[in-house]
Amino acid sequence: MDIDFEPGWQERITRQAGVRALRRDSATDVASLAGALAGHASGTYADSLEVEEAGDAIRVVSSDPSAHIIEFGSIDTPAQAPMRRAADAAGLDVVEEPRR
Amino acid sequence: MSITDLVMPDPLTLARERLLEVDEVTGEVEERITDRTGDPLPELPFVRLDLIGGPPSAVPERLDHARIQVHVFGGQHTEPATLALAQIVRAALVATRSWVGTTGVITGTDVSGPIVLPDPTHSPPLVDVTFTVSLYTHP
Repeated sequence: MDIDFEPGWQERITRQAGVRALRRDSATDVASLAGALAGHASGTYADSLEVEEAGDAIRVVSSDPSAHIIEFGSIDTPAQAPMRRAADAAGLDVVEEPRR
Repeated sequence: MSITDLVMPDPLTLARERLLEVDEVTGEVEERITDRTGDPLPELPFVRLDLIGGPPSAVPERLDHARIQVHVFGGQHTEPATLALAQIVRAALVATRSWVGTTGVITGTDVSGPIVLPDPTHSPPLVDVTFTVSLYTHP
C-alpha cells in the first residue's frame, strides 16, 4: 500500500494551535530546567532565560552575556550545557546544526 | 539480569583512547587530549572532552548514549588551521564504528557540525572550535 502525503502537511500540523501550545509548553519546560541545571549561584543565567516566538519558531533564549560560555565552556571552563541537558530531560531530540 | 550488565564504561576514557590511536590527531596534539583543564593549561593546540550528559532512558538498556562536547583549542594557530584540526578529530570520531577499547566498545557515533566560538575571557581571544559527539557504548 502506498501512502501519499499532501505537500506541506508537516508545516500545517506544526502551525495548528494545539500543536503550537504543546511546543510552547515544551520550550517553557526546557527554559525552567536549563535554569535549574546551570550551576550559577547568582541566578543571573536562570533569570535571563525566556521563551521567544518568532514566526513558526519557538525558541528558548538567554540574554546573559556569558550564556555561550555556560553552554559550551571556554578554554578553562568546562561546558555545563544546560540547554541541551534540559532538552534531553524534556524528551526532545537535540539536533545541532553546523554554524560558524 | 545482573546489575553488572548495566554498568557502562567511562565514555571519556573510551573517546580519549580512540583518538590517541589516530595518527592524524596525535601528529598535531601528541597526547594532549584531556578531560579537564586548569592551571597550567596544556600546551596548545590541545583537545578537551567535556561529558555533558545524554538523553534519558525509560528502560534498562545495555547500550549507553553519552553526549560529549569536544573542544579543539588552537591558541596561536589561525582559525582555519584550528578548524582543519577539529575536522580531523571529528572525522576520527565519525569513522568510529564497532571499535573495541580497553574498557569497552564504541558501537557508533553521532557527530554535530563544528562551530567557532568567541572566547572573550582571554586577550587576545583564543581559537576554540567545538562540536558535540554522541557515543553509543557498552562494556
